[in-house]
Amino acid sequence: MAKYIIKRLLMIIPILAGVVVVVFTINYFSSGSPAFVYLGASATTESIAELEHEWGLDRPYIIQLLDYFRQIIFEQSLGTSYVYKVPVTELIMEKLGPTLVIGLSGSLISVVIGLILGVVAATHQYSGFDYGATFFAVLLNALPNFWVAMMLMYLFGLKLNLLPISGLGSPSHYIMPVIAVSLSPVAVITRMTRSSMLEVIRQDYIRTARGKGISERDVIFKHALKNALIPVVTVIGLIMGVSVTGTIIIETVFNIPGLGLLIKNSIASNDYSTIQGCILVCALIISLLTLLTDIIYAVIDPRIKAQYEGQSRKKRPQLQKGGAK
Amino acid sequence: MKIRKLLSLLLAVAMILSLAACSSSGDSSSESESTTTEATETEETAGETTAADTAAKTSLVYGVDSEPNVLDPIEATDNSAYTMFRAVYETLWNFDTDGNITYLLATGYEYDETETVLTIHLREGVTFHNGEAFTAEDVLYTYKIVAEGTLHGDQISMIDFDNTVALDDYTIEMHLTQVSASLVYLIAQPFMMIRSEEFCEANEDSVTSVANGTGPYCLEAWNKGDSFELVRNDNYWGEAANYETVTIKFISDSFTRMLEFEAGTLDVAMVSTSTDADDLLNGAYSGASLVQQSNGSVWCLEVNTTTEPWDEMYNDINLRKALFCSIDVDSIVTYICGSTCTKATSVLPSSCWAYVDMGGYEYDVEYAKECLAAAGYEEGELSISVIYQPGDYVAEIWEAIQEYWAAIGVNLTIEGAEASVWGPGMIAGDFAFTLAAAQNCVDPSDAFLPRKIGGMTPCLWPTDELLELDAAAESVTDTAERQEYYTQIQELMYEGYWALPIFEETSNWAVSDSVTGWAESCDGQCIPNLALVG
Repeated sequence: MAKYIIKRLLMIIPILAGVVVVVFTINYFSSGSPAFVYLGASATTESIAELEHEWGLDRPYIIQLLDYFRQIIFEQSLGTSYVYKVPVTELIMEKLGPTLVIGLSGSLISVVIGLILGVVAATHQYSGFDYGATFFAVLLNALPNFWVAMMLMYLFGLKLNLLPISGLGSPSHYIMPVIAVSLSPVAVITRMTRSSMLEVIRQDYIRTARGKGISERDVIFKHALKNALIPVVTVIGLIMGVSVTGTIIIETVFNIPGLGLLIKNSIASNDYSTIQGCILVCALIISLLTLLTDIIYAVIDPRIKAQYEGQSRKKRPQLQKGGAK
Repeated sequence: MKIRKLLSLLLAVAMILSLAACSSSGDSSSESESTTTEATETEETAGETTAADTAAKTSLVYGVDSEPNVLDPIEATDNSAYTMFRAVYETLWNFDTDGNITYLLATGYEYDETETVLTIHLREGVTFHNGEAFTAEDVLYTYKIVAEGTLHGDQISMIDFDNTVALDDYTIEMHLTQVSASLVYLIAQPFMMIRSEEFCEANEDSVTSVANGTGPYCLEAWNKGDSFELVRNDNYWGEAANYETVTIKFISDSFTRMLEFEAGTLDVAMVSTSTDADDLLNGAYSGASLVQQSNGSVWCLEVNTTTEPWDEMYNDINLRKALFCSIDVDSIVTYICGSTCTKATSVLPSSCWAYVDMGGYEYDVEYAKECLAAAGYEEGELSISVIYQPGDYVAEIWEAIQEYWAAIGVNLTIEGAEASVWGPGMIAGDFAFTLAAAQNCVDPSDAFLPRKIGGMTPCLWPTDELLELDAAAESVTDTAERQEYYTQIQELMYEGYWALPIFEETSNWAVSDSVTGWAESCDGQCIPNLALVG
């Protein structure tokens, strides 16, 4: 299993390299001069050219790309922001914390609530709870999260004065953003869990378990849920990735100085180096979360764990099989 | 039974969340990392200023729409940063909204008989926030940094630094390469705020993230992503500021900012939408009012008559008359720009001392059709393509113009582009038309300066006569003489249909009734002086 994890970690490197090439290429060939955005109304053709030369933007594509790789590999640097004039790494480290807190907390809450609601809805199919859970799942999925965020601010921040409206500070600042981030995933996880559970609880082995006198709670949580979780974990992995890296709108509405807001401002000012650095970090986060999802598969399903271990044994010499040769 | 357990669990979770919320409700303080000149850490309780404190006039909380990228006034390009800069740094002098000079770090100046040597007398007994004495060397150091920079170097290229000297600690003899009427106004610009040479040399690597000025406030902390914390400078050379502390909060979303204002966590908030402005005017916010101030920005529809292939085509005055007289500017200003703008009637803003009210062109569709025919175009023959930049109202105005021109048989195709795409194309003269603004004009030279250095909209100088008039206005320092030249420029531009003034911007703030003097504190560039607010 450890070998499998190491192998997967090493696979992240070419994935990130590919992301760098794609993002760099898109930035390079997209129209627009960050120098003009920086200089503004006082820009002239000459001053734009001078600044682009200073920033190295007039070099050929391949030179710029190789130089960027060199910076990453040998200097562990993602470049310097044209706008903020500080290393991109430093910028990202400043902004990453709030984004991770909101994204991961929102994901965790949506997982817990989604699983509970999905299990209860599946085990009480066609009941009032089931219909209610389905209704709210559809509703929550349909509502745009920025609108939900604005309504939460208006209700709990202004009218009821229960929570701070925006910014960061005490833990209470995180409550509304986390709720806004978690609502739509709750709906998805609820629906996914419900349908997966319904499929599993009709299986013969569940009937056998009940026939053996195992308590209904153990039947559901020890036998049914574990088998139902595989497709749900897949969805959870995707949701976590989106929750962590897709917080631009939530951060804008709640005025949270996170990675999402940094990406938005960098795109507006054509700050290429910051855009590239942020997307690289997002790709890394999603890769790690995908790996985490795969590890959770192995924890839930011993067959998958055996499969991973089997893959790492493939290269052992045939001599060891059977012991005779 | 199991459902009861589940419901109990959910109820318990809800109660825990409510307790956590109630324990610190309404709190907007930040625990982000901060950067200060004294390297103080920001505690969780720092910055917890509310409108309640305002009642005792101890602190002010001001919400702005963006955070500056750097703390260096020379490098900053963000208008929102200037409020903090004006509180922490100072220029030698500034101009109020009526164009009257207010001396700050200088006490006076005079030209010699050639008007190419400017002698500036500096104020004695001024210290920077770190205790260092302010002297003439700091002024020379700052101006040289500006001159060497990419952003503003061209604007002060008339200063001859080889011959400019400090006669003593408080007198500067500034030599100019030519007579420059605009220099006096340039000296008041935020990028000319004075920095300490000794401090900057010692902190070269961090000069964009620390602030050491001479102003009525010291920058106590920069809570990145959240706010500036300012504290009153008790060693200020002038009258002490009214508020002990000022917090400038960065809230980019206008909905969030106005919500914070309504909740009372902001005493003053920048208003950036006409909807919010209208709500304030209609009394939707109790205990608050809308303060509006012309910010010296005027937007014009400008036609390119200087670069190929537009020079021949649009040099026909009949064509320009047709295109301008077919646009209902009143409706555009009323229905698109709303209450945050007023109709422009000249290429200069009405707040500028040289402004002359030219009245605007009459909206007359039939006359426009006649002019179009006189220019040799039948209905539907003329097709125009425009690429426009992002900006407030820009897209909507172009869509309206598209409809107006369609009414006289001109086909207009419009396409939006990012500033980084549109800008270089505009500078290169690739476009026939642009909606462009002269911004923050205290002096008429501010309106034309970017064009003079070959920047934005080179189409503004369609004739040599206009170019000569501008050069003449720049070459004399007497205000009355300059007024004559600028009046001629405005008249020629109006009579020649060289540009269509559309709207003037105002800066708008939601101000709590407990805060007084906000409008009066604004300088000629519409930057509020926090020290004067009470």
